[in-house]
Amino acid sequence: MKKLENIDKMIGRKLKSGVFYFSLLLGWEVVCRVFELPHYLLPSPTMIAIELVNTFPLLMSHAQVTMTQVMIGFLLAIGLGFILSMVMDRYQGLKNLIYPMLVVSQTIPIMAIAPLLMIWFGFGILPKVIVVVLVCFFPVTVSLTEGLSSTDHELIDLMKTMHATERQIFFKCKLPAALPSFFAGLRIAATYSVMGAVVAEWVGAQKGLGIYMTRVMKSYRTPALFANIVVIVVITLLFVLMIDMISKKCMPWKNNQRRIEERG
Amino acid sequence: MMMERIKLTQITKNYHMENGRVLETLKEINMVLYDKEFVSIIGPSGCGKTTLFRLMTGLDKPDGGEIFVNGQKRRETNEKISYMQQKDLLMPWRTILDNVRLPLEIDKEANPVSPEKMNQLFELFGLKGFEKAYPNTLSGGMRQRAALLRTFMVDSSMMLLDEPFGALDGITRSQMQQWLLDVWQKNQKSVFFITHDIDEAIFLSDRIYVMGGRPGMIVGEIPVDFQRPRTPDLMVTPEYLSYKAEIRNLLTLFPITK
Repeated sequence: MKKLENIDKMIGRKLKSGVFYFSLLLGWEVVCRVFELPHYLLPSPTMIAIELVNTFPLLMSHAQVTMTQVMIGFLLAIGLGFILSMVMDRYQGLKNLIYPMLVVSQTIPIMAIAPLLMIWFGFGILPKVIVVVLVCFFPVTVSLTEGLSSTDHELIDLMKTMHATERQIFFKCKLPAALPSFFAGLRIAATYSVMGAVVAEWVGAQKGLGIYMTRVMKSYRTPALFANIVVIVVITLLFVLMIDMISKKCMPWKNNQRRIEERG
Repeated sequence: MMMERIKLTQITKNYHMENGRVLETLKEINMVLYDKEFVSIIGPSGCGKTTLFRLMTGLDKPDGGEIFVNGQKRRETNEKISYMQQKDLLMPWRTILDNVRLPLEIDKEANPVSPEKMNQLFELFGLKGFEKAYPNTLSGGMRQRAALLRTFMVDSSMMLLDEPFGALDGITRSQMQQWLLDVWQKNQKSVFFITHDIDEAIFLSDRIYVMGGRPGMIVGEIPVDFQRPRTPDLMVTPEYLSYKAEIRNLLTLFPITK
C-alpha cells in the first residue's frame, strides 16, 4: 500500500511540473499572438515546432557533423585527462608544477582561441575537435586528480601492511575511490563539449549546428535559430543522460545506497 | 621458552610538530608478544598506542631502539603482520566477499582459501548471506566483523587490533568480545589488542600492558590468570575486581599531562 502511495505522489509531482511548463509555453504562445510580435523578434512555440518538423532532416545532418566532433573530442579529453591525472598522482612534484597552469588555461576565452586554431588547422574537423578537447580536458582532469588524492590515507596504509604494490594500490583503491568525483566531472564536461563544438563552428565550418546557426541568424530566420537551440538542448541532455547511465553501471554500490535511503 | 613473535626494545618515537617543536610520543618502550598469546595494551587516548602499531607494521620508523619480528630486525625483514585500524576501512565499491578477499588478491602467493572454507568463515563471523551485499547496507557490528575477517585473511600468524570495538554500543560490544574469544581460540594467532576499556582488556587478555602519557611509556604489566574458555561470569569474581582496581590505580597514577 505504501508503495502505491509513493507512486501516486511521484505521478502527482510529475503532473505538477508538467502543468507548470505547459502553462509557460502557453503564455509565450498567447503573448506572441496577442501582441502580433514579428517572428524575427520572437517566434511563437508553434512556429518553432513547425520549423523543427519541416527542417528536421537538415538539422539532423548538421547535428551529425557536430556530434562527431563532440564525441572524438570528448573521448580524447578523457584519454588525455586520465593519463595526466595518473602521472600527476604518481609524481607529486610534477603535479605542483602543472596544476596551476591547468587552472590558468581555463581562464583563456575559447572565443579568442577558436579563430587562431582555424588559421593554424584550416576549416576542417581538427580545430573543432581541439576546442572540444580544450573545454572538456579541464573538468575531467581536475575531477579525477581531486578524486585520486582524496583517497583515505588509512586505507592506503592498510594495503601497504598487506604488502600491496603501487600498482595494486592505484587500481584496487585509488581509482575506484576517485570514480564518483570523476563522473561528476564527466557530467560537466558533457555539457561543455556540445557548446564548445558549436562555438568553434561559428568561426568557420562547412557543416554543423554552429555554422547553421550563424547562417540563419544572418538571414533573420529566428524560428530556425530557436529550432536549432532546441536540437542542441535535447542532444546535450541525452548526452548527460547517457553518462548518468554509464556511471550507474560503473558504481553499483551507489544505487544500492540510494535504495536504502528511500526505504528509511 | 616460548617463541617471541614481536619484541620491542627501548623504542623511542618523536613527533615533529609544524612549529618546529619536537614532541616525545613514545619513550623507552619494552614489550614482547609470545606465540599464541593475547596481549592488550591499555592507556588513555593520545598516549601513542596507535603509533606503536604503526611501528610494528613498519609503516613508521622508530627514532631509537629496535623492533624484532619473529626474531629478525623489523628494518631488515619483510615479515607481514595483519593490522586492523579503528575504522573498518571497508571499500564501499566492493561487496563484503570481495572486501574480505582483498588480502588474498594482493598476495598471490598466500595460501588459497577454498569456497567451502570461505563459507565456513562467513558462518563463523556471522556474515552468512551477506557475501554479495555492499558495506553501506550493513550494521556497525557486521561491518566490524567483516573487517576482522579481512584481517584474518592476511597470511600472518600475528594480528594487531586497534580498538576494533571502539565505535560499537555496549551490548554489541560485549557480544563481539565473547565472539572474538571463540574465533581466536579456534585460530590461535598471536594478538596485540589496543583498548581503553579496562573490562575489555581483562576479559580478553593473557597479559595487559598499561601505558601512561606523555611521553607514552609502559607503567605496568599485569598477567591475567583466568582459565580459558572464559565467560562473562568471571566479571563478578573478586579476582576480577582486584585486577580492575590495579589497572585503575596505574591509569590514575600516570595521567596525561600537557
